[in-house]
Amino acid sequence: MLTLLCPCCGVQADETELAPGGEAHLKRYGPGSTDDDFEGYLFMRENPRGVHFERWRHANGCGKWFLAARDTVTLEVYGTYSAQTTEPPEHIKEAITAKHPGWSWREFA
Amino acid sequence: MHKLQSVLETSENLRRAINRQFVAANEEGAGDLEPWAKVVEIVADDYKEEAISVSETAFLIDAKRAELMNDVHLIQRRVWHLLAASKKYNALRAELVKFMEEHHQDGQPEDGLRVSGSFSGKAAFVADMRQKQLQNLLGQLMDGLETDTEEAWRVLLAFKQTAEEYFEGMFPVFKLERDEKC
Repeated sequence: MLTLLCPCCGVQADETELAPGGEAHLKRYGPGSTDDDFEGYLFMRENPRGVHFERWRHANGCGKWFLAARDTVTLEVYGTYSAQTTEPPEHIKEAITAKHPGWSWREFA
Repeated sequence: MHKLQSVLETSENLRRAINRQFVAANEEGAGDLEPWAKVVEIVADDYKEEAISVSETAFLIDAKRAELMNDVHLIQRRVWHLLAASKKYNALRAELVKFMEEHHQDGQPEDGLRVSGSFSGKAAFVADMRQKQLQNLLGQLMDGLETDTEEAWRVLLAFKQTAEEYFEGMFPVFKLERDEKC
């Protein structure tokens, strides 16, 4: 079972308490953007075998959103962090690098 | 915020889907056809986000932005109406195409999807009436999408800004184009 530490309330929540919110760190495009940008944002998602960054909501807990970095193959969680960030914290990037040297995900590496 | 974002996406996606069909028709040499003939069935996602509840926008009253609260609820309803209009358009267009198949005299497919044909007598009258009905609906739909997509974007940005100020750092970061902070 997947368990994630909610960085908002500190509870180690199992997946029955959590609601997935899709990919993290998306840049949203609206009217006036190019078709490619809009479609890329709306339809194109990473589907990696390995490191992935996701949004989760502690739905049956504090109700707050947070972000998580985890491995889609092993379910190893590299860390969770506040949703008020535009990129993963350094200590999480380092934890990923220790397991996956040379990893990259969208613009992060 | 997510539901509001979804409202904008529905509207913008529908608008682009229709505009692309005009471009495609022109590129395929079907530029002279009537708009309804150019815009074939619209692929509209059947997904409809949950209604934005009052409890999700109640903070706007406390933030002295009651007019924004009204706008948030209104824009969701408006876009839902546009979604319903696109489904109605699909149904009416399918009806007209079926009618043409049954009554045309020298109809021909333009590219397999787009059609043209000629009629006489009562069939001509009915076809003309249904075409006008379809044109009217398509016109309303396109007008609505132009207005409401921009309005949805304005409401989304205003909601985001107000929520960020009200919740002071507790509101998640959303990277929006046109947002100078991101």
